[in-house]
Amino acid sequence: MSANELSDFRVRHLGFIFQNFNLLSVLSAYENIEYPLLLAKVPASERKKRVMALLDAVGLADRAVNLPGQLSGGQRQRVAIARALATSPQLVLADEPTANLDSETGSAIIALMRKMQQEHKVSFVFSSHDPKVLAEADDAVFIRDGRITGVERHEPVLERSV
Amino acid sequence: MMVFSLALRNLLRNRRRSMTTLLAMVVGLVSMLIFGGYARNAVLATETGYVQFHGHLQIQHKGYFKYGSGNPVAYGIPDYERLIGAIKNDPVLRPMLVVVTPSLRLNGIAGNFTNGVSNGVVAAGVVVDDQNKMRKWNDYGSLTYSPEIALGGTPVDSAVIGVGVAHLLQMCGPLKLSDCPSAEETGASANRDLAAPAAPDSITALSLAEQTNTPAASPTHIELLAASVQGAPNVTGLNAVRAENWGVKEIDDSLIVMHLPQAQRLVFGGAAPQVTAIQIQLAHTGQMAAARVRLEELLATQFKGMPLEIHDFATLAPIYTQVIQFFDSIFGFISILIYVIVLFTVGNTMSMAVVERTTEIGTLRAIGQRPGGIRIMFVCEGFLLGVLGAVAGIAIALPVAYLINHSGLTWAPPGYSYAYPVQVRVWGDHGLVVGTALSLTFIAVVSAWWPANRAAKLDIVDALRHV
Repeated sequence: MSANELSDFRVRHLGFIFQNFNLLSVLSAYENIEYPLLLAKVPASERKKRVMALLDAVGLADRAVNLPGQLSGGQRQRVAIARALATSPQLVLADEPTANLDSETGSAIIALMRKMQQEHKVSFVFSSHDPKVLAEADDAVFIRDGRITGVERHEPVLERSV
Repeated sequence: MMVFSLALRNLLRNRRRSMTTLLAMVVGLVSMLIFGGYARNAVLATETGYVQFHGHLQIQHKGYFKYGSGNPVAYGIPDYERLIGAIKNDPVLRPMLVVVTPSLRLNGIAGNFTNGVSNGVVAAGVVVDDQNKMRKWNDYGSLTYSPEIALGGTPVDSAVIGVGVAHLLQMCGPLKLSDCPSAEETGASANRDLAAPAAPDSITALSLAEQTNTPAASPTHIELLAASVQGAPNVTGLNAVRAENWGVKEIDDSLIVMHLPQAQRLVFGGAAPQVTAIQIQLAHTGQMAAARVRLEELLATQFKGMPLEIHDFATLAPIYTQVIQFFDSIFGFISILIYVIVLFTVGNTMSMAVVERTTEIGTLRAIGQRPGGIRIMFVCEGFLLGVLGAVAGIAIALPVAYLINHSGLTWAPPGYSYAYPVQVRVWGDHGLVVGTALSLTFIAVVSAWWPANRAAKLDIVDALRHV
């Protein structure tokens, strides 16, 4: 696939959540969520509907016009989750989504991701060093020094060595 | 969205750096506009000056321009009145014409024998009313120095001489010239006495007798000696009514303007009068090519046997083309310097922006932004810098030009004896303003292209890892 085709694939089928939130600092919460929809060429009226619904779902409807710098860490990550879900991807990849958050906010973010996963019927794949976060996962793949050392399923648990 | 909105916000992210870049562009643009406006005004003023004095086109005897300027007898135009009549009545030319007038130039020696001095001069016989009408031509609204010829309503033997000629002929007192030392003050009379050999007593006595028998000559009377049609020298008496500063020292020191009939009598005596040029002034310089084509048709049909040629003012005054080339070369040099400065300033700003926003570029690429979108984003920032710089530059250049134009500053161009007001023509010169603004914006876009291209080609994972 060409670079453009890969870009188009990512915008339609994948969502990304980063450890450092990686929001565009010059765009408001609303505009950050809207950005992938613009890339996917979603019509303006549909964009507005979807962004407002996502802001509402992550509990930030009242912070739509705020820039990332005016939001707390937890709020920024919620905007990032909303942005990742904006184009209704099948898969969201999250890189240590709670690493830069305190434990309470981290738990809230995990709960939010679980809620979104169930409501939007989307899979979340995330990396984490936090055992409490890993405990929330349906499936866990353990990697050490670049090698998979174990796979864990909570109910039932499947364990094997590679 | 909002490619431009995003670009603007990104520029405002580091305001100090953006302002510094804009400042460099504004200074560059203002410099280009002020110098360009000055050069433009100088070129148009030069053109206006030549058109006021010589017209747009001249019909001359073939070879006169190259070989015959000192020989009106050999290179005269006979039957010139019929030619002027044909031009004035031509239906194609008539709407374009302002003045069609004959002139006769000749070389001679002017003498003020009351003071015992003489000097080589160039005399121009003209139709005074026509010449004064030509002086009013000012299609570009230039501030030019073009004094009217003070011969209107004067007797046919009247003449206006250059202030330099007045100095040389020691006529400052009668012509009421200030800043003009007498021959005694400059020591010229002592040298003359030393150089002149003593006349024999009999000749001196005859001279004294002649002087007592003739009425005293007017202090403004000069004799003009020139070659006549028969080849023998001829002399005519002229009465200098005014000494004029023509604006150029070489002309001041040599030019005498007189009525055309007097000049013709001096050169042609009782023979049919001729002229050395027919000056044609048009309403607009832009009509010159069409008028020339029509004149050539006219000469080729109605005046087939006459060896005539047509010259435009740029050919007759080579300095006009040289002035344009001089200003063009300086303007080009300044432009290149400023373009290079803008190229590196904007390029540096955009390069720093790419480095600082590497993670952001990685994020945008990860969420689906195409490489072309990244490229456009940075190019738009360069474009906006260019547009903002151009707008701010024009906004500053206009009042600066206004201040210069109303400052009362003057300068005398090289070789000129008259100080001209310094004028900068920015307002109204759309070609200069738009051309300079567009070229600077284009340079800003080109400057942003390389950093933008580098940003577009960044590896996503490497960009996201960037610290």
